[in-house]
Amino acid sequence: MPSTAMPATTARSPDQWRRLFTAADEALDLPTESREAFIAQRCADDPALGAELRALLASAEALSPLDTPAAALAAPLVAELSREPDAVMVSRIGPYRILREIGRGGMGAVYLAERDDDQFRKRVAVKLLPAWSATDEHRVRRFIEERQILAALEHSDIARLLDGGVTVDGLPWFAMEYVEGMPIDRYCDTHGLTIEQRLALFRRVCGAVAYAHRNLVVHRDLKPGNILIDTDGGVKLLDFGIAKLLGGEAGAELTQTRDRVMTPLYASPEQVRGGPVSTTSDIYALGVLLHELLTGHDPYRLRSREPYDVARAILEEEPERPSVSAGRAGTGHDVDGIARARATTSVRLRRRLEGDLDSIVVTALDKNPARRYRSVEQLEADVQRHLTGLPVAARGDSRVYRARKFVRRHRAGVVVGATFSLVVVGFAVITGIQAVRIRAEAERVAAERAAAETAVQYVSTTLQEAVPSPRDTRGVDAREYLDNAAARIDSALPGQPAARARLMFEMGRVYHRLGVDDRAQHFLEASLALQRALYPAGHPDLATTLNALGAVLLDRRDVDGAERAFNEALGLRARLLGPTHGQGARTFNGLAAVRRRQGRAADAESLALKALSIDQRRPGDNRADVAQSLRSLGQALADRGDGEEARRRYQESLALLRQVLPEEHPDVAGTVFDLAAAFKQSGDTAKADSLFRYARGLYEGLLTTAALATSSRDVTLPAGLPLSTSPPVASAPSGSKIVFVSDREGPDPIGHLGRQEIYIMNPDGSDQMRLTNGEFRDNSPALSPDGRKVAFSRQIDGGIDIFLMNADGTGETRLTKLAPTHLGAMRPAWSPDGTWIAFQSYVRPDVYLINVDGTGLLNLTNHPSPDGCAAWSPDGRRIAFVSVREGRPTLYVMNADGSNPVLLSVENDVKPGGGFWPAPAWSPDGRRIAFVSDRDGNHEIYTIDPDGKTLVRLTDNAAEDAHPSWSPDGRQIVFHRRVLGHGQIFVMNADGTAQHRITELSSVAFNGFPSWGRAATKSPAR
Amino acid sequence: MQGDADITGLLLAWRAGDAGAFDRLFPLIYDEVRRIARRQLNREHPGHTLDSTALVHEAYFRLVDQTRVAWADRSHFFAVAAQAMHRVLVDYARQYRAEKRGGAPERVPLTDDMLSVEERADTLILIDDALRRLAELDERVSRVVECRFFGGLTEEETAQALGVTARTVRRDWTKARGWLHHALNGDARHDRALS
Repeated sequence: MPSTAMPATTARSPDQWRRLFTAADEALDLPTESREAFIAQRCADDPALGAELRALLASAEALSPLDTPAAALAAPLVAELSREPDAVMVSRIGPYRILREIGRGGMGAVYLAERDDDQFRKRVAVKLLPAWSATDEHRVRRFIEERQILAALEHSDIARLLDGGVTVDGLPWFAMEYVEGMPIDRYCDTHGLTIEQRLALFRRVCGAVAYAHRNLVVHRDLKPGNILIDTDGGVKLLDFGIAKLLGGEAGAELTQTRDRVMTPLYASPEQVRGGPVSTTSDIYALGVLLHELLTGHDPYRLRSREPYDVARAILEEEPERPSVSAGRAGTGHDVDGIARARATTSVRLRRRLEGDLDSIVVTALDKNPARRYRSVEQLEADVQRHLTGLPVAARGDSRVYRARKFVRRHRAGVVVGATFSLVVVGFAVITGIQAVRIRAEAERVAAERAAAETAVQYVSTTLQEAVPSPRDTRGVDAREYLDNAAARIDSALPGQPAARARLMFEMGRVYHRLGVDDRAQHFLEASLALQRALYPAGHPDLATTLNALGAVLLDRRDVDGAERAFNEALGLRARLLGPTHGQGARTFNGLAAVRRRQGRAADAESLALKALSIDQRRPGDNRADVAQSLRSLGQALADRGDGEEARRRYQESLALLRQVLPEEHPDVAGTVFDLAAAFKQSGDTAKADSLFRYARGLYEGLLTTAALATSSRDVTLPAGLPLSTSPPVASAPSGSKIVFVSDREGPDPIGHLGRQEIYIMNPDGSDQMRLTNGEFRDNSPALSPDGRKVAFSRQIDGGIDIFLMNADGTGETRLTKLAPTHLGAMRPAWSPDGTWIAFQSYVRPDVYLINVDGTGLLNLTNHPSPDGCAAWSPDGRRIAFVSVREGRPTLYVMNADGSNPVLLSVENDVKPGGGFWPAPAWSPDGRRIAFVSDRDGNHEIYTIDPDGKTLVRLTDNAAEDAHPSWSPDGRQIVFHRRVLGHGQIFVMNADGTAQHRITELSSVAFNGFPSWGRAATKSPAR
Repeated sequence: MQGDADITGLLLAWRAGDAGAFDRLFPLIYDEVRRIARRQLNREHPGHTLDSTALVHEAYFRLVDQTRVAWADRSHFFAVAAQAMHRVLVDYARQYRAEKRGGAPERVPLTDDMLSVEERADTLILIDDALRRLAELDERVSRVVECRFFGGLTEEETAQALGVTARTVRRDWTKARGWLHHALNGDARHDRALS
């Protein structure tokens, strides 16, 4: 093609070009006919510019390669290259000659190569990076800079980065020491290494990682595949910081198996969330590795490797303790096989892992990076301490634990008091329990006293430690432990009534903590009886016991008994210690709670204030006590109706509590709950919602479900926040129902993973009921024409499929099985006779039909452009749908067999910009089709008749409206509208009047995708 | 959904101003675009065409959790997808040239009738080179080209994605054509000016 026919411009320098562009802007703003005049005038004293400008405008009119879309231009090129696998056949890279391909992954290919100008023919692994990274100059520059850093890592246990560069085509590569070896997990199993031997290997790995950290390099992708053991038993870490070089994170690495994106199991929670990554992420990965080496399992009870499940487990699930995992059969292993691979038996393996190793792994796997080991050196040191019998830091600073370690380490030569040994023996079963972080009581144990007292101290601490989490899945009920211990108390310490009284007191408090109030009361009363006999004239300990008893009685709703106990305690203390003694504060708080129960809120407030002032004036660190008084004061204020002041006190209390307690402590969760209730009381539902949800999340991770019951007793939960799935409600004898989607029970406060469920309700918003069970994300519900069934889509098996269930949530069955084939099925729509369901495939969207019994799959549209959003006409003869075949989503109507698709909007130039969602919806009389369009700037709901005439807009507001669905009588339309950032469900008349909202507003939860249908005329069977 | 927890979240984060999210987002979209392109071509479809509009829409469909992303945000996704298309196609072109022949391309044909695969690859590479130089001059103009030429976006979609008016998009497109004409045809002095 001749290239000189049109004048080209002579402008050269960037500045000249910019001037030219500016002038062009001005010219192009004018109509064509005015341009020449403009140019003449504008460029009067710069004719060169004028000439260039004219030339530019002229050449813009000429034929240009830009006329053909790039994709069309490239199609044959892509086709030809795609016929082969993505292999770039190379024989040389830099100075290396490629021998063969070793591996291939999402981040490029790895080749075995040797340097043939090197007389030693040293073998290297050359990694060639994928094409896309080559054209990004910034990335390449960074690659070269950081290569220097990595090349400087010199450690015998780290595979050295030897060389690197960029090929002529701009593909980055690097060469590494070639390591032949087995991944560490396979090596350990193949050689049947014992726990000690595995720990030794692990320590070497830690050493290498620590070295890198000292040189400011984070690995980011630690996993067995990157930790090889060579034939001499030496350790080699691979791919250090490589993920960083590539600009990706371990969480984003694409490991392509069957075209899926895998979330690696070794990614830390912060990596999964896409947050900043640091040395603590490596520590987390080392924790996962250690777990695998010790138990042969991953730390979470993973049902599947689906990215959603893995990510959710990493973010939300507590890691399983190694001792538990080792006892659990898994896929492909049996419990004995796992033990054998560790040269032991399963029983011994469990015992070996209990205690220190459990603690170390769990600490390394903490969801909160700040609570993991602070450095790899610390982790490694703890492993070493365990191996030499020293106390491990992960267990916490507990005197019993240290003492026990001390005893074990120096078996001979320790003189132990008789009482001590008796108590230790007697309670050996309890001391085996995992330590828990309830520090408050343990820290209050005072200095040395007589031997009996010392024994009691140890036991007290032990008992406090013995309050296990219900998640303690050692397989023995926590209660059982306590009950065993309780049974022994009566016979323990026979000649020491004071010690026994103290023991019983502690026992009572532990039971109270666990929510077993009847036993708590029993023990406290027994302790009281003993103490009364011991100290007829009274004793401060009596008052302490009375306080504890009063709290239990309050929880058991014996308000009068509680009042008596507190009053007695008050009298005692006043008599013995004087009125301003610190311990009186607890009693005042107890009495305040009594007054609240009696409805005397003003008295409660003054009592709480008294308690607070005592606590604040006490010397020493009593933040927990002050926090308790503040909370008590807040509760009294809330009762009195002063919500604002109550909130302030709660927040003060929380601030203090968080300084001394872990977040998942019942006191913290309870105070958050109280704070939420206070917000709700003053009408700030959004804040209340959010806090309630957070508190629920804390409780779920908490010590006992009983705590939930006791703490929530005083507060009415907001509507729409069901604690559990209630049994199905029979639908009204006549009428209609609306099914919809809501995530009101998620997303959880720490992550993005929502729990989308299907709900049903009456058209006035009452009787909202959840239908699906929470394991999957469900969407697009549709009521069958007879109202007895609900079709919906569910994300499952790495894709999406359609399910059916009864309108009460029972009887879930899977209709399509297209997710595993990557086709997927979503947006079900019932035919009017209830025998077919139209849906839209997920990949390569087309409209399909399927019988409700699962047979007869039929592709109706079968068009390369995406088609979807099917909606039946009421006579079942036609289907409206949305297609992109014109280049943008447009409404079509076709016959129900897929023939004769007709563009709906011929005359009115309707541009339904709503696209794939929401679906068009036919009115029950077949005369109108409702749909969404943004033709006027916002998403609004319109109706049009099936011939494409008479367009009517129903909504008109700044919010986005979507997903219309007609009531069965055709008089109303339900839709969803975005309010406060989240969808909520609205109903209006079919003419657009009387728009009103029927779901609760929330800044956190959404309700949407409504579908209106008949209610079943009788209770849905089975 | 294929890693949609990542992509949707990254998209939202990027929209909220987190520039780092873009770095993580782009390779994911790149791969998806590439995958869809190959899938489109592997179907039994006469003419072996690639439809970038459909491709970009399909990528949006597959990657983004539409219950979490406002419909208005899809233009921004499209812009990234256009960028990914740009990279994908140019990478293919460079790969082709690296494999099949060496040397610099010689001329740029102006229509695609009967173009050989080599010529197509060369065209893409030359356009890409020219676009880089254009980007140094005026980034937005080059992005308009990216959206329209590579991404197949309409004027409105481009306008939405770049946050400008459709008129600006039209002006930029004109300027880009003028620029490209110059870039592809060398610095031949103009013979005459239009009067």
